[in-house]
Amino acid sequence: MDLLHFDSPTQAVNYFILCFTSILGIIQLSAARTNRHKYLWLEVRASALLGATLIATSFAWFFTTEEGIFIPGLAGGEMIALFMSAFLIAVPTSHLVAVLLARLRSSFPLARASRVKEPTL
Amino acid sequence: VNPDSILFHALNSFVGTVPMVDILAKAVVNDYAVPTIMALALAGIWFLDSESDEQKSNQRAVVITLIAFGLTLSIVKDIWNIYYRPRPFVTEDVKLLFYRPSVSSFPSLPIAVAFCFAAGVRLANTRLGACLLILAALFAAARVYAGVHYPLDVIAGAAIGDGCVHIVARLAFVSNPIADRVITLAKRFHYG
Repeated sequence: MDLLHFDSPTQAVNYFILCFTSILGIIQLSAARTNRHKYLWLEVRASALLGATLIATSFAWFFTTEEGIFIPGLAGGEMIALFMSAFLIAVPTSHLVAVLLARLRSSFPLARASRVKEPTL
Repeated sequence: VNPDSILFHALNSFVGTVPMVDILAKAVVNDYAVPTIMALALAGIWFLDSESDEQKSNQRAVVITLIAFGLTLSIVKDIWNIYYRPRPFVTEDVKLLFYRPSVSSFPSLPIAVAFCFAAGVRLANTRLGACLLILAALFAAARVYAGVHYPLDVIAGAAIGDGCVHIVARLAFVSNPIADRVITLAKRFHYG
């Protein structure tokens, strides 16, 4: 704990958001590839697309908004701590969102059925 | 005549000649991009493959990488305690694209970590691991190009990071039981 000073709190928060969002994205990508419904938020293809989008946007956001990238910022130990905490929070979050969305879908079966194309005679 | 210095100047002298290359080098060289991508790939490997045997071997690769990461850190820091090599910008005329790190130049810790993660991912997924090794090599070249390391620093870092993964993976009789315990513990808390 002696190594964790977080001299730049804003950068620490921004880095945590980058890690958390991109870990959510990578979980969606991995879950979509292996069809693991425990973590899937949407249909397989949509989840893969969502995962890739989450990763790309979180990186784009971090590198366009964070001005302290080229000055001494977070130490290695701080980055590891932030990444690990983001991972520890992102995994149950992914599962929770997947469960909530599945319940939501099962609560509105009519809305889903109405999207199914009527067979033409 | 120091070949390390000659090679360093051969790369660093290009700074400022092609602006696009400088922008790309800056995108790669910073402390956040490559290490985060590497860690993210490792997190992805943890959840890859639903078949239990393949998933277990992937998760073992992740734990082996984390053990190797600890070993890499301790080796690099031990070398730093024994030997201090000044950064190129301290002793030479350098075109610097980065801030001035104060720790020893030899061996490069970021490169050691990048190669450790890339080699670890390669244990589980050859194609993704190969892509990450290319990215780690680009990271190493960018660190020299940007003026923060000599070529020998990044070569030593790469050898330490890659070597640690292979040593830990070879010591399967020690690393596999540790990995299996970690995997069991993670599953108990629904992490994979």
